[in-house]
Amino acid sequence: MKAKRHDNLVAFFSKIALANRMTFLDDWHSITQQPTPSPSILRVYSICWLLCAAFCMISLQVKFLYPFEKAQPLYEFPDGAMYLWSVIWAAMAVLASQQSGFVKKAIHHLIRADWRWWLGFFLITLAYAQVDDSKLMRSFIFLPFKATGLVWMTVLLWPVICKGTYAAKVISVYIVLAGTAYSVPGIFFPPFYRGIEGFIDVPDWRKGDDMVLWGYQLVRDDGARIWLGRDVIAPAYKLFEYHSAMLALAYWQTPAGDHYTQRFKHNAEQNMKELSEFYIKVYQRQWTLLKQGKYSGERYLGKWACPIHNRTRPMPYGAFAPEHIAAIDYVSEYYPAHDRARPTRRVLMHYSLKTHRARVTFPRDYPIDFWFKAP
Amino acid sequence: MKQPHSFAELFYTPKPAVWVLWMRVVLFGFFAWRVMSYDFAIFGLAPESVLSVYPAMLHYDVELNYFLGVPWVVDMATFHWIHWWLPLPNVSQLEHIQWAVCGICLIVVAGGRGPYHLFSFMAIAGVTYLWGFLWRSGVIDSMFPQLAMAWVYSLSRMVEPANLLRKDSYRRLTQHRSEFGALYSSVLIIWIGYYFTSGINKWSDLPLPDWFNYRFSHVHTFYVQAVDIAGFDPLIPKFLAPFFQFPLLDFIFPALIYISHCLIPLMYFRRHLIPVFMVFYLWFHVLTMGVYTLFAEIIAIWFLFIPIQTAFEPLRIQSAVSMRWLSHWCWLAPVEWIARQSDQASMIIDVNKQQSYPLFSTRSVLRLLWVNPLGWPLLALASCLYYTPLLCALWIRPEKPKR
Repeated sequence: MKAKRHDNLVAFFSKIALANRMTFLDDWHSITQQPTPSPSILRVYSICWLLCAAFCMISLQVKFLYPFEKAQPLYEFPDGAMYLWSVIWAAMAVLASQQSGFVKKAIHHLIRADWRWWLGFFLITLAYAQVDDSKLMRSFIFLPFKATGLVWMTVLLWPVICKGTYAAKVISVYIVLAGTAYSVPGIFFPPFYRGIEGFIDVPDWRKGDDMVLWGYQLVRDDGARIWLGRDVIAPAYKLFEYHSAMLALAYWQTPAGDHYTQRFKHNAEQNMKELSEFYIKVYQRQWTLLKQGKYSGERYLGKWACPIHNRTRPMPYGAFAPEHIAAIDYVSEYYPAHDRARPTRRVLMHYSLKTHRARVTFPRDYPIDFWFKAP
Repeated sequence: MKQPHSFAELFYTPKPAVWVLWMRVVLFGFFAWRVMSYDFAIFGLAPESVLSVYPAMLHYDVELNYFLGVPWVVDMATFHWIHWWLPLPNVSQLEHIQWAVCGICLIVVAGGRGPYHLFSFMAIAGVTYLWGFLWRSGVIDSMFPQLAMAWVYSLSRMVEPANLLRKDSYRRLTQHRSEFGALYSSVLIIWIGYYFTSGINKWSDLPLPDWFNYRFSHVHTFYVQAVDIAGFDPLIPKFLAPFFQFPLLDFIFPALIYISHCLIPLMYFRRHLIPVFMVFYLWFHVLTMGVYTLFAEIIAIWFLFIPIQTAFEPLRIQSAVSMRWLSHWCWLAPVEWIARQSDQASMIIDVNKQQSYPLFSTRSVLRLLWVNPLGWPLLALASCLYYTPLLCALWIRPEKPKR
C-alpha cells in the first residue's frame, strides 16, 4: 500500500521529537534517532523566517493605519530598525533554503535543545534588546527567539497532535496556539494571552515631592467638587485610565493631510461629550448604591462581590445627588512640595450639563506626551 | 514503584475524581461570582464611541502592546460579530443576559457539563460575550487563563464525577484515574504558561537595569499622600504600610518576582513545589494591594491547586514515628489529640510498624489538619507559615517514594 505523505511527515516529526526525549507517543522507543536535520526542517525554518520577514514588513504598514506623527511626535516609530530586521530575516530564510553550513548546524543544535546554543541565541538577542529603548521594538527583537522556540515546540508536539491521546491532543493544540499568540507582537485573541508586561518605572512626578493628580471630578451646582472613583463606572473603569484613548480616537477620526488641529479639537470635544454623558448616566444609575457607601459592583452580591483591579475607597457621594450635578471636569491638580495646602487646579476638559457641551483646553506648557499618559 | 519523571509520564499521573469536582466548583463558581460582581447593564448606556476603545487603541499612547487587537479580530473572538447585524443590547437585555450566564455557570457547578458538554460551552460563550464588552471598552481584564482552563475542561472526554445525569458518578470520588491526571496537568500547564510568558516578557519588555528600578515604595507613598492630602480615591490598606518602609527592598523584590516567573515551569516537574509557589504568589498578590493593584481573580484560581483529595483520604499514622514527633514537637500533641478525638469518619488509621509506609515528614502537621473539618480553618494559617519559600528551602524535600 502506498504510504501517504501525511504519514511520512508524522514519522519525520516523531524522529525529531524523539531526539529531544519528549513525546506523548507510546511507541517512541521503537523510533530510531535521526542524526542530522533533513532538508525538510530547513524548508520549514525557511518558510517561517520568510513569514516573519513578511510580518515585519506588514507591521510597517501599521504606521499608515495609526497616525503616529500626529499623535506623538516624541515617539518615533523605528522604521529603519524594522526594515533591518526584515532584511535579516529574509537573509536567514535564503540561507536556510540554500542549506548553509552554519544555519544547518545551528538548527541541528537548536532542534535538539542543546542548551548552549539556546543560551547563546538568548544572550545575543538580549544584548541587542538592550540597545533599543522602545518596548515595541524589543518585542520585535525577541521575535526570532520566540518564533524559533515556537517552531521547536510545534515540531515536538506534532506527533502528539497527529497520533497522541485525545487529552494530549487538546493541550498540545492549546500550547501551539497560545505559543503563536505569545510570539506574534501585538496580537490579541482571547482566551490566548501574551502575559503580563514588564513593569515600567513610574513617571518622575511620582518620585519627587511635588505631586500631580489627574482625574475626573463631579462639580455640584454650588461649586463643590468630588473625585469620581473608578468603582463608579466599573466594569468600564479603564476608560478613566485611558482618558487619552478618547483623545486618540479623535486623532483616529481626523483624516490625515487635513488641517488637523481644528478638526482634532472638534472631534475630541465630540468624543469627550459622549464620554461625559455616559459617565453621568452611569452615575445616575449607581447613585442609590453609592450614597449607601457601596460600590457599583456590589449591586447583586453586596460586600461579597469580587473587587476590581484598582480598588477605590468609598467616597461621600451621598452629598452629590445627580440632580445637583452641574458639570463633570477632567482636571490636573498640582501640589507643590513647599505648600501642599494650596494646590493649582487646571481644568483640561469641562462638560456642562446645562449646555450639553464639552470644552477641551490644551495648556501650552504641558508636554505633548502629557495628553497620552495614563493618569 | 518507579517515580514518574518525564514530561509525558507526569502528564498522566493519576488524580482522584474529587479534584475534578473541586475544579468544576471553583472554576465555574468563580465565573458566576465574577459575572455577578459587575454591573454589565451600564454598557447599555454606552454610546458607540465608548464601545470602540478596542485593544488596538489601548497603550496606543505608550507602547502599542495590542496593536493587532483591531475591531474585527476582537469581535470574532468574543461573539460580538453578531452585532455586525444586530443592535447592541440595552440595559434590560444586558441584565437578563447577565443573570442567564450566572445561571448556566451554576448549573455546571451543580451538575457538570451536561449533554454534549452543552452547558459548559454555553457558559464559556456567555462569559466570553460579556467580557467582550470590557475588551472593547478599554479593559484588558484577567480572564484569559481561566477561560482557557474552562475550554480544556469542556473539551475533555473523561467520565465526569458527580454528574447530574449519571447517578453512579457520585460514587468513588477518591478513585484515581489517569484521565483526571491529564486534565490536572493541562490546567497546570495553562497556569504555568500564564506566569512563564509574563516572565519572558520581563526580558523583552525591560532593559536589564529596569529589573531593579521599580520603586514600589515610591508608588505606595504617592498614593498614601494622594489620599491624605488631596482626598484622592485609591484604597490602600493600612496594614500593608510596614512592608513599604524599606526602599532597599525595591531593588530586590521585583527582580525576585521576575525570576520566580521564569522558574515556575519547575512546578510541573516537581509537583511538591506547587504549594511553595502558591504561598509565594498569594503573598505577592496581597502585597500589590499596597500599590493600588489587586489580583482577586488570580488569587481565586490558585485555590484550584489545593490538594482537596487529602480530606478524603485516610491518614496513616505510624505510632513509633508519632511518638518521636511528640517528643520533638510538643505543640503537635494537642493537634493530634483533637484530631483523634473528633475522628468520627475513622480517617486516621494506625498502621503496623512493619508495613513499609513512608516516614512522616514535617508536612504531617498539614495532613493532621486536613483529616478533620475542625482543622481546616487552621490549615490556611499553617500553610502560610509552612510553605514560605525561605522555610521551604531549608526543610522541605520531595516526598520519599513508596517502596
